[in-house]
Parts: sequence; structure tokens; C-alpha cells
Amino acid sequence: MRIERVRLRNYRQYRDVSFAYPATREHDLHLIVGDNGLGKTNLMNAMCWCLYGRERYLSEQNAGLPVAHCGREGLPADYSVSVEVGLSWSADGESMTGVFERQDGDRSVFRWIVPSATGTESYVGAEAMKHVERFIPEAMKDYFFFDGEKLQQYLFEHSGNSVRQALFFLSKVTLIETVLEHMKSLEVDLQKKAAKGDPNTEALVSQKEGISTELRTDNAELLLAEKEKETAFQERERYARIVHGHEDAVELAKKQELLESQLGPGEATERDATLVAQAAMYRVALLLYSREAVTKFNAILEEKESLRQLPPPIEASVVQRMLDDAQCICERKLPERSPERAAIEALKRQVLTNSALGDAVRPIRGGASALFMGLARDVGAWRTARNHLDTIRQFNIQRRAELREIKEALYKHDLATVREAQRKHDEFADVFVKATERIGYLKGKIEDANGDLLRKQNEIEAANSKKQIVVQLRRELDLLKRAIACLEKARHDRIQLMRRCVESDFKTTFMDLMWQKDLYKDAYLDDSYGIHVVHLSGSEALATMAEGEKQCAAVAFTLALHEVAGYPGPIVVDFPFGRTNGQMKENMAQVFLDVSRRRQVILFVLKDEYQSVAHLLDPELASKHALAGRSGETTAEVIE
Amino acid sequence: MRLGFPMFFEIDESDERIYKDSGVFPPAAGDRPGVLKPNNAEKFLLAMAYGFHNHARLKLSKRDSAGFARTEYIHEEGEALIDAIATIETGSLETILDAKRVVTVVEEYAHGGVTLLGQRAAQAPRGTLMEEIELELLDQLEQGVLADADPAG
Repeated sequence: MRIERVRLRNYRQYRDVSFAYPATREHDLHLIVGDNGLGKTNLMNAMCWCLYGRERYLSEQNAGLPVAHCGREGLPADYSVSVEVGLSWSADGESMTGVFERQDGDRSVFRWIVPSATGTESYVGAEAMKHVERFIPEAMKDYFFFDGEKLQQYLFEHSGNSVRQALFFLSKVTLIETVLEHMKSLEVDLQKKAAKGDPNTEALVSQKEGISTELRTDNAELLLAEKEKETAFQERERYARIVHGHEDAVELAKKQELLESQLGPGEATERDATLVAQAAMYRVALLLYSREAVTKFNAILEEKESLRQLPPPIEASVVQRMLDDAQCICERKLPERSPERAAIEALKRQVLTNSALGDAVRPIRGGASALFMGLARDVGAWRTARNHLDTIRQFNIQRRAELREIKEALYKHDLATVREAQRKHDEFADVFVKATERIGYLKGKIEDANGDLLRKQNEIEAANSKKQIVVQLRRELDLLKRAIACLEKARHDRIQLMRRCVESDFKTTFMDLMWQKDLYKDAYLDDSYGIHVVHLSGSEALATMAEGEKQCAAVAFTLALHEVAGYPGPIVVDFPFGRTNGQMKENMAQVFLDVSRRRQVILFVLKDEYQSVAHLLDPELASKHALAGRSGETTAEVIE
Repeated sequence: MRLGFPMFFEIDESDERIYKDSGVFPPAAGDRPGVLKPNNAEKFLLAMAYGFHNHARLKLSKRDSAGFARTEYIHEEGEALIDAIATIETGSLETILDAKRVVTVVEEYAHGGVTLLGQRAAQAPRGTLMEEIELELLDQLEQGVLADADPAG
């Protein structure tokens, strides 16, 4: 089964280009050489688009561009163009020879065209899709068309479950399982027939049927859970790769959020503490600024007191009585308008003033002394308030400095993307854990149900053993049982054989590819179909291997799968040498060369990337195309 | 309220902006529970004391007739300061019996004090006047002024 020709019309940078892949040499190896941007990956996309309607390997920058070829000037708004990609296939059987053709534009159509006695015969839409499944099933396309640059991702994204699925599918175990399922339902029908008329046995059969139905539901749910687990695993790893190198940023962002949430209240506390410290300072300031006035005031008071003016030495009432009696206390008469009386009247005014002063001074003296008696306490309160404020300020200054540092550190990260990726990563990690738990629960339940099923089966057989009808059906039932047992054994053997063969092929190819042969001592598949590479020291090495080595492991595994499955599809690889170089690259070229003896291999390579292995591949190539570009259009030239 | 005192001490119209917006005193807005800010009477007393301390007595050129500091909010200790300043300024203890004269003296010292503070606020980098005043006060305390009253001194 091989691709004879690919024809592209108005597909992205291709206006009208054909690639023929003739099987004229011992090696069915074909090469497309071109610089970056000339459409190597898009040629693989075109093949996928033709077969499955999706461009699996489209780069992000090309995703927004129209599929239709538009040249350098772009498409005018009113211009519609028909995009066509055709894939011609040939195989040993005539029914496998024909052309898949997909068109888009004025009308969209997908068809499989095969030669017939009357000319050609066409299958369109879903009918044509059925034929695609005979060539390269969509579920398996990643093992036939792959991007060498991302090979190591394949290795990690494809968990044991997907490896098992691929293995089962390619090795027809899935087919055996379908036949087994049919036979088992046939067995139930026969048992029903045998139990007819006997309520007890009918009840047993019905119970068994109930268990079987539940078992089927649980099995289906288990498959879904495994798929969910696998998807969650892949997505978790994908987001982990985005977050990788930005882990600090995520932590810093969390810290930034925390600091920012603390800074608001911290600043409010600082403002409050500032006000408290200011209030304490105002009080001290008031006392210090007025201290001189109070001191002088006290001196004046003391002087007055020493002159016995405060309080007055004589009471105003005594002076008043002298004036009323017109006689001094020395019994001298005080006639009206006499100088003596005027002197006594002046004395009275003086005494009254001094009395009023004495009354007014009393609270002033009390207030001033209270004010200065509290000064020590006020200064202490101010110092405490200042210290408290300083502590808060220092804390806030430190927090602001920390925030500034974090912001500077975060500047280089695309934080929104990293945060979103981290959120998604955590989300899928959660789904992964839940799916794992669900799988464990379902497996236990299925095991119990299988036990129940076996017991019911035995009970039914015991109940039916003496019935006449069973004797008649015995032969049919026995035959069916033997067939089921045989198929189950075949299934088990096939799986075991497949696993051993894949494991062995994987190990051989991987070791062939490695240039330091003695660095790894083993490569194997575990019971859950997980891929492992063992370092010479005995430790697991897959995660710590160099990128080029991981790519080699991925290629080795994919090729092993192909070899063992016996599936005859071609292998199409973009950027096949990945990040390998030196001896490892030559080994990789040699492996592709070996594979191309048994199946078609189409490689898309960069001119520079290819040069170092050209001496190995050029003499054996069945075809070689060089891509060239002008005005946004790619052309292809066959190089002899 | 002291007998003979008006309901309010008055300020010059130019003083209001200094009391409110110069950064000398905390703004009135944004009060938070439990955090007391000085009222107008306390601000007035501080301005008066600052004016007296710096010998800055200034006649009010245009009175703000709306009044500024309610005299009933002046506590007994504040009244003692007012009387002491009025006495020292006039050189006569009897001044304290003349409420009108006392009011004139303290309003003019408050006007002088707040004008000086306004000028300092205008010259100092924004927000640093309080720190300057704080340092001056600390200096005074450290120089032994009121050493007996300062627990740290």
C-alpha cells in the first residue's frame, strides 16, 4: 500500500504542483528538500487535509490564513478559488488502487475514485471515509504522518493506554474482540433458548444477562475513563511544558497577590499610625513652643506674690467699711474730698484688682502646672507612637521593595499565559487523579462482575444439564464454547506476542540508533504498555535523555509498531532527523533506509539538515523533489 | 467658655488654606474610627504657640468672619497658655482681666504662627515639613530642654 502521487491545486502556497512517488528502486524512499517556509509541513498537512479534512500540523501563524492559495498579494474579497488535493494510492489488491480527492471552495466534496470496467467509480462523503479507514485509519494517523521535531512529545503524550489501543488496532486484536463479543451474545441466546419454560433457569439467565449488561456498561465506562485519563495526562503535560521555566513566575505572582492584598491595609495602618504620632507630636510641640511664656508668667506671679500683691494683704470688705464709716482703722476721720479718703479709695481699687487677678490666676496656675506635669507622659507617648509608626513604615517599605523586585522579575514572563496554563495544568491534574480513581473503582467492579458472571454461568449449566432440549443444543453450545475459548486464547497470545515483538523491535532499533551503544542497557514496555529506557546504572532514563535521544526512542517505537502490526501503510515524516546530529543522525538515516525496503517512506527535509546524510541516502532514493519559492508560490522540481 | 471671650477665635482669610491644605495639619477628610485628628481649636493653639515661640505676631488684615476655633473647645490648659502669652506680650498681669485684649494678642500670634508654617510648607519639599518640625522638636529635647520631663533624655 503506497502513495503514488500527490496533486495540489490552490492549496496554501501551492498553485498547481504534483509530486510523483514511483516505486522504481529497491528502496521505496522519497525525499522532498526545501528551505523553511516553502511548504514542506504544508505538504504533509495537505495529505492529512485530503484524507481527514483537518490540517493536523498547521503552525499557529498559518492557522489564521485561508486554505486557498492567494500568492503574495492576497486574495481579493470577491475572488473564490477551488482548492483541490488528490492522493493516488496503489496496493496489491485492485480495490485498494484509486484516488482520494478533496475539494473546497465553490463546492466541497470528498471522494474515493476507483477504476471500474466501465471507466471509474466514485464513493462520496461517508462512503469515501470508510475507504480511508482501510488505508490509514484516522485514529492511527499520528503513527503514519508525524512531525520529527515534536517526536519526543509523541513519546510522552502517548500513555500506555494509547499505545495499547494502537497495538490492538494495528494487530487486529480489536477485530478479535468484536468477534468474541458477537459469539458471547450468541451463547446467551442459546442459553435463553435452553432455559425456556423453566422459570428458575429463566430467572438465572435473566440475572446473568443483567450482570452482562452492567458489565458492558462498566467496560464502556472504563474505556471512557481511560480515554479521559489519557487526555488529561496529555493536556497536563502540554500545559506543564508551557509552565516549564516559569514555575518561579507562578510562585512570584502568588506572592505578589498576597503582598498587594496586604499592602492596602498596611498603608491604612501606616496612615492611622501617622495621625496618632502627629497628634502626640502636636501636644509636645504646643508645650515646647509655649514653655517660655509659661516660665515667664510664673516669674511674674512669683514677683507679685513676693510683693504681697497676690493675694492682697487686706480684704476689700475692710476697706469698704472704712469708707462707709468715714473713719480709718487708726480712728482718723476721713471727710469727703479729703486726701486721706482719696488714698483709701485708691487702696480699695488696688485691692479689688488684685483680688480679681488672684481669682483669675488660680485656674491659670492649675492649668499650666497640669500641662507641664503631663509633659513627661506626653513625650513618652510621642516616642512610643513614633516607634510604632517606624515599625509599620519599615514593614511597608520592605513590602513595597519586595513587590518592586517581584514586578521586575515578572516583567520577562508572559504572566497571563503562564497563569492560564498553570490553572489548566492543575485542572487537568485533578481530572487525571479523579479518572485514575474511577478506573480503579471500575476495574474492581468489573472483576467482581466477572466472578458473578462465572457463578451464574455454572448455575445455569447445572440447571440445564438434565433437560432434553439442552441435549439437542449441546453440540451447538459446546462448539460455541470451544470457539470462544479458542478466540480468547488467540487474543491473549496475539497480545503477548505483539508486546514481546514491539518491545524487542523497539529495543533493537533504539540501540541501532544510539551512537553510545553501551550507555543504555535495556528498553522495554511494561505491563501497562508504558515505554521505558534503562540507563546503564539501572535507573529510568527516558525523562533525562537528550532531545535527540528521545526522538530516536520515539522513532524506534513507531517503527516497531509498524513492523509488528504488519500494517502496510506508508510513513510520512516531516523534519525526520529532529535534533539528532553526528553518528546518531547517520544511524537514523540508515534506519529509514532499512525501513524503506519494506514500506514506502516519504521524508521532508531542510537542505542543510540533509547534507550530512546525503552520501547515505542519495544513491538509494526512488525520488527527490526540490521545493522553490517565488512571490509566495511554491513550485517543485524533480531532481534526477 | 471664659467670661468675656467671643464664641470663636477668628483667623485671617489667608490662613484657612494653610490650616486646610498646606500639609501642616492632617486633612479633615477621611476620618477613621478610633483615629482622632486635631480639631480647629487645637490647631489654633498650636499656631499661636508657634507664633509666640518665633516672635511672629501679625495683625489680621482681613478677618474671616465665619470664625474658626470655637472658644468653648479650648481646654483649661489651653486657656492657661493663652493667658500666659497675653501677659508676657503686654508685660502686665492685669491683661488677663481684659478678654478683648487677650483675644487680639492670641489671634495675632496664631495668624503669625500659621503664616510662618505656611511659608515653611511652601519652601519644603512636599510632605517633609512635619518631619522637619519633628526633628527640631527632637533636637530641643536632646539639648536638654525639659530634660527632667523627657524620660529618654
